[in-house]
Amino acid sequence: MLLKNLKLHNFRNYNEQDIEFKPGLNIILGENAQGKSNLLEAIEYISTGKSYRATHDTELISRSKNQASIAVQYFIDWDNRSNLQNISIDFKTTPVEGKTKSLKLEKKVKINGATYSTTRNLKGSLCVVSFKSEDLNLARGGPKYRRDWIDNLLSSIDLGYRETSNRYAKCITQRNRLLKNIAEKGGRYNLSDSDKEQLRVWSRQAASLGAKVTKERLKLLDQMRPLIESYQEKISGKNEPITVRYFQTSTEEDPESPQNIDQQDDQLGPNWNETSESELESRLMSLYKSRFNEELARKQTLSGPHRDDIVFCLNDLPAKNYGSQGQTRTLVLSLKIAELDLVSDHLHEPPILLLDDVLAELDLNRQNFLMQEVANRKDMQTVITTTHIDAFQKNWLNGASFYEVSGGFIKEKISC
Amino acid sequence: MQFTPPLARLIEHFQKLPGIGPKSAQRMAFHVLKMSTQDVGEFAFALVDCKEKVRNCSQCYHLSASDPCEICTNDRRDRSTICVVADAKDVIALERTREYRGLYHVLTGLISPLEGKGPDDLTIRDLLLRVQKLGVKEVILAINPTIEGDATVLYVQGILKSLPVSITRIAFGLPVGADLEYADDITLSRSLAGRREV
Ligand SMILES: [Zn+2]
Repeated sequence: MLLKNLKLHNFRNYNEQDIEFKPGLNIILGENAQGKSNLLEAIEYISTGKSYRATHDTELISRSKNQASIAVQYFIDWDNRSNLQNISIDFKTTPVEGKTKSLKLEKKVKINGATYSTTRNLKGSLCVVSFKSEDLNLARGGPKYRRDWIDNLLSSIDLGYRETSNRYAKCITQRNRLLKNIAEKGGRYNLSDSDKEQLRVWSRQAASLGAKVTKERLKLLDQMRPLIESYQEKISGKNEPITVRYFQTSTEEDPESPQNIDQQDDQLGPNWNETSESELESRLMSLYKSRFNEELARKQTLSGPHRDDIVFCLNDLPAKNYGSQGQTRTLVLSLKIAELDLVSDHLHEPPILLLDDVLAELDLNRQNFLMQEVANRKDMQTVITTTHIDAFQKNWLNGASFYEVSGGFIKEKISC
Repeated sequence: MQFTPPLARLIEHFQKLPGIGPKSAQRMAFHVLKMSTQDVGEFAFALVDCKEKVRNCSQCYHLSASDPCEICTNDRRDRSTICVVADAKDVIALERTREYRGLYHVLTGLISPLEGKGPDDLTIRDLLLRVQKLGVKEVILAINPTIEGDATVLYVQGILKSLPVSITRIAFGLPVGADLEYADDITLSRSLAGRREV
């Protein structure tokens, strides 16, 4: 895949911007807070239909403006550059009648001339893999980082997953409301027959969709595990076996503490990767049953893929708790390169790689590894943001294109 | 500037209609002023007449001015088959096909805790009684494959499972004449999931 051109209008701190990208390495230089990340955010938004850092999409529109747009042109095939693809998104806010402070956001998505009012058709068009400093949370942060990561990855390579996980999310919202209704009517001893039957129906549906989502995650992790292991050996020079543990939820958002990780009964066993969909479904049904009182008290569904966690272990010890800073960085880096491989397999050629100021987070050894992996993928276009060019070794810069960002303006630099 | 009270009242009423904003409501009200007194009278009468006469059929809950409705009283319709739909609009849509000759049952909605709709707010009990009373042999569920539709289907299945009746659900897929290339991804993946042998 090859990004040719990006046009921004009133997007974040960009007023009017038009950038031509080149094949290979595109290096974007600039001080902090000049708009480097905003640029990558725009590209990623076209790819995923959402922003990883805006809590609400209205934040994407420049201050005091009521509309913005992102437009890209790209080629699907690196080799065959005849078929130019066009995607654009227009954002427009209008005041809500009667409410002075609320704004209604309308989006108009155009994919090669076809217009949509939601971003759900975007996924699967422009394919990117991005690596930014926030990704270090994959090893050290809370479960939500890992769930979002695996959900985004699966959604970009599997159309069915996207649909199933959306349905699952809706189903959980409905089930939560039902739990709330039941709790407010007096709890489990006041259940009418139709409440009982309704609870059965929503639980069955949640369990069936939840099992599908979980099974797809397990398949992906199983496929990724050896890749992660080999990259991690390449970086560290040490052959440390990587194991994956999959937790089917706990009470707390952040379940595993070093003391009790082995005692948790909601962990899938050592053959987690072979757990069948129907087995996952019945596990979920029994979790609903055993935790029903707690679910009623908290008025929410406490088990299922929306609460699950993935724990990566080095030598059987959770990297999160036991790994050194170096080890966790190696793990995340290996994970990201493995992700790049999977998406490339799916596309039959590399996606666009976005590296947002990530070299600053890595030591020289890991920087070298990453840039070597980038260089090895001859057909891959990469966009890198950085504050300092001297972080780059000379041999990486061969054939690279340079851009400079300052105060929401970007221009190509002819020489460096 | 303020509208004179009768005009303001009319605008206000139009604005309560679904999908009508203040601008359209104003336009509609001004249009009413331009209509002949006779047309306006007929319009007002139609509103009241419709509200007074149209009821849910006491058997199938379809909307009708007669009770039981025209479909329930039609002797030529097959009483051993009931097609279950969420809304009266779905009956109209299915009737347009002229394919189906059985009876209907309108649930008057779908199960949705978020919208405060439980099974007891729908006509599921009446469906059970009708199936028993009429000795229905087949129940066809013509219900959209949304998450609420699926939950309602599961619920209805559970309620009817002790009866000797076959339960089927209509298939969803690509519209006839649709070009595969332009079908939206979700529809396409659903059609694939619901494929049948040919
Ligand atoms: Zn009727």
